[in-house]
Amino acid sequence: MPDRQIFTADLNDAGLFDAGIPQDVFSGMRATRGLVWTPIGAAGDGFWSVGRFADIVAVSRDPETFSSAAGHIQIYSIDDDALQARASMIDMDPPDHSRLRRLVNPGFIPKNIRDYVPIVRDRVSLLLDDIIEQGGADWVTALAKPIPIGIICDMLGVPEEDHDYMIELTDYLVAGTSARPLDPTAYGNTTPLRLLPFNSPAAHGLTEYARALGEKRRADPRDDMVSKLVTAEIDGQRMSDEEYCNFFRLLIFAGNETTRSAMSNLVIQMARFPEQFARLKQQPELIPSAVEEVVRFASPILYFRRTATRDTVLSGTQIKKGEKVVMWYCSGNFDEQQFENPQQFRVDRPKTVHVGYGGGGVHTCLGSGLARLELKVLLEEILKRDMQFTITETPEYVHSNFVNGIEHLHVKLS
Amino acid sequence: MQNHNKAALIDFLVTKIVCESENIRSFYLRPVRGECPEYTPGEYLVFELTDSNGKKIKREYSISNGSKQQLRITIKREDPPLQSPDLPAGVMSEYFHQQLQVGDSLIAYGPVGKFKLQSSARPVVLLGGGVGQTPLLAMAHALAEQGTRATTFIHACENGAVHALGAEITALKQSFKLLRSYVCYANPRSCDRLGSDYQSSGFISKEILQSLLVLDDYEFYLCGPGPFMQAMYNHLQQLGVDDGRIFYEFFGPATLLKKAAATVEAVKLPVPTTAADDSQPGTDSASPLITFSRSGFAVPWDPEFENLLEFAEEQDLMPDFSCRAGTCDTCKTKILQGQVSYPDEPMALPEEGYALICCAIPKGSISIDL
Ligand SMILES: Cc1cc2nc3c(=O)[nH]c(=O)nc-3n(C[C@H](O)[C@H](O)[C@H](O)COP(=O)(O)OP(=O)(O)OC[C@H]3O[C@@H](n4cnc5c(N)ncnc54)[C@H](O)[C@@H]3O)c2cc1C
Ligand code: HEM
Ligand code: FES
Repeated sequence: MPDRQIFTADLNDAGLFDAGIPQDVFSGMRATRGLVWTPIGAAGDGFWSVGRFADIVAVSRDPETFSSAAGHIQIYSIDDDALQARASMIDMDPPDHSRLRRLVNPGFIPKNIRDYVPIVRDRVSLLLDDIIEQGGADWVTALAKPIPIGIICDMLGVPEEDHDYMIELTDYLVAGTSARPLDPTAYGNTTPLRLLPFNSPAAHGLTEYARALGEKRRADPRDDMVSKLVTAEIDGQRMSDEEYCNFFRLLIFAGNETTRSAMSNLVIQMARFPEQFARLKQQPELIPSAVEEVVRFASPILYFRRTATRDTVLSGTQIKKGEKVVMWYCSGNFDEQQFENPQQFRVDRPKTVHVGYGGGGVHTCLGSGLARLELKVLLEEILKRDMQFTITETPEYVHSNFVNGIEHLHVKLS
Repeated sequence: MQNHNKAALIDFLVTKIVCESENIRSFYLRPVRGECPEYTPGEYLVFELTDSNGKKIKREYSISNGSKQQLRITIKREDPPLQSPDLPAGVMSEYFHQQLQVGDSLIAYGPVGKFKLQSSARPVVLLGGGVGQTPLLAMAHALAEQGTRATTFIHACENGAVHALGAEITALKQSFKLLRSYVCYANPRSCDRLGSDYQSSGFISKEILQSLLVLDDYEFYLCGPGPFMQAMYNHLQQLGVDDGRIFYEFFGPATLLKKAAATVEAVKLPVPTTAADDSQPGTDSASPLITFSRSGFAVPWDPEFENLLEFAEEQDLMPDFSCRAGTCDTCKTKILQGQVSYPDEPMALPEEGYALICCAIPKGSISIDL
């Protein structure tokens, strides 16, 4: 491959993200004309990296050229049968995508999610008061994990006593995006790992759980999303078992690790920029823009991938049909062309679109309204209690180039 | 009463067990040391037990009355569901009913809870189903002590066999003249007496509530089984009771009572409609009228809403969407009459005659293809 600009850093190496987003790597990428290429192995595999805001938006808004269904939406390649086995709406293109999205949209509209405000407030208050009483905690275990999973489980209809199991499974799911080998027989798994989402046996555990809950709800429907999914018909047809289980897994995963990461990053930002947050006490009307800024800085999902369905040109670079195109949201969110002083954290940043929830288009995060609501309530309750955080140990990041997750965040209250 | 650290565990001694009905018993608890913790009526205690598999289980029980010396909790025995009698009975309630004896000790955490009697001067309606009356009983006692707020105690249950603590409310009425009560049995037995044991049979209807509630500024406290609560909540909504004056507790994981229907009174229109005909875009003095032509109704625009998509959803319509930010075209909708504007410009404007309703607001009255 002669004329490809090979990128200097190996973006395929999860280790690159072990201390958070490597800002200088991405500012280098944005400063390079056109797109850059990262080779994988010697056989010609590799991917284009899209690092500028405008290019990310262009790719996101053109699913016909940049497909979510033609290949995997993560960097590593998987076989067609594996792709088929895991397909949920996030790995589909319109019109298949649109049919499924229509099914779950109602659960996430403002009218329906505002019911969760008091629930989030209650749950958050309880946990914050515990942390205050103890003078500090591992923020991730004490709050950032249980809150998002609790809410998404409530929505789906997963009973309270199973929330911890869901946390365990999703943790183990993310572990599949790192290089660490996983036990292929965990959770009674018998499926070859390569066929499972994130190549993790936890996907098997989640599927089995989803199936059992689905059966219960089919027999005895309740007012929850699982009941709706297992009884809903699309174009006169019920979803297959497999489609439903994939949907369940998508919702559990997508609503969980991401919001958790944003909540951990909120505290990191509060410890770094206490004066910014002090302003919010006087100007609570800035809380929504502070929440956007937290998600921009967090970029909980570092990238999603698309696959070119035809030869095309982006930013002056030739892309060939079938090639992988990776959108680095964590780069677009710090693009100097889109944000004034992007490295500055400002709770009063004038409204500027970011790509934390995706670069626009049909796959835009279904749960963004819910995530905003959870973060807003959390921030309000923290401010109400005048909590000031000191980070006592270097935050431990999830070993992954896909999620900007944090495993442990030890904080002390001052 | 004692100043008490809510996070601490309290050692209690069981001083008395009273059979209140076929399946409900009260347990009187005295702290081993000192006085009872202070509580707000509505709060509960949390009890922990290790079951036969060594698993810790926790259950909440509302305080149904109390003093400095002792607290009372009132517990229903949870039998296996009728259709599967082989399942085990409820673990904690079974323990209280079958094993616990006077003189035994118990550990509890609390009192805690969010469902609390508010301090205000408003008249109060306590609306309880089954054992859900327990926190309401504590409230009734506190209101009686205060003696200033008119109180209506409404109780629904199966029949006289399971009706608990009816006599307690009757007695309370003697000393608290502002208290009224109303009992409804779903399936009265032949020995239950209409007029004295209960006032009506079946379910509590909207009409019953309406007839009981003459003033209009009550605070409502609801506690009972899910379907009961949802039904009561719907009745209250239809009677126009403000959400802010309805407080409720579930005896299970937190859930929410759902609003039944659109909040804005819709005007039914004949289809096709000409509602937008005589309006000049942008010059309406009153609220512009939004006509949903395919659904056949029109509603005045409420500027509280950020966009037409949200407004349509509020009317129980469900247009397709993905991004809600003007980037995906999914919400593109035909505008049959009138015009829209975009407070936040979408990435690309749709062709003439269409709008991206996720970021559009009406410029005067409009008719749209929804
Ligand atoms: C805030 C709050 C306050 C409360 N206050 C009170 C109160 O004042 N008084 C009161 O009585 N309760 C109250 N409750 C409810 C109480 O906490 C318990 O939930 C209740 O007593 C049942 O607990 P249990 O351990 O006895 O039953 P569980 O063991 O939880 O069982 C519940 C039911 O499930 C059935 N069951 C068992 N196994 C199965 C199975 N495999 N499949 C299907 N069904 C099965 C049981 O037979 C039983 O009917 C309150 C709850 C809350 C949240
Ligand atoms: C701060 C928290 C969150 C962040 C940063 C985030 C980020 C993202 C991103 C980047 C995408 C992909 C967009 C694309 O491919 O173009 C996405 C999609 C998605 N998100 Fe989120 N998300 C968050 C919270 C949630 C929550 C709470 C849910 C609730 C279930 C959720 C559910 C989904 C789903 C279902 C999709 C797929 C949508 C589709 O394919 O149509 N997300 N999210
Ligand atoms: S929902 Fe995407 S443009 Fe309106």
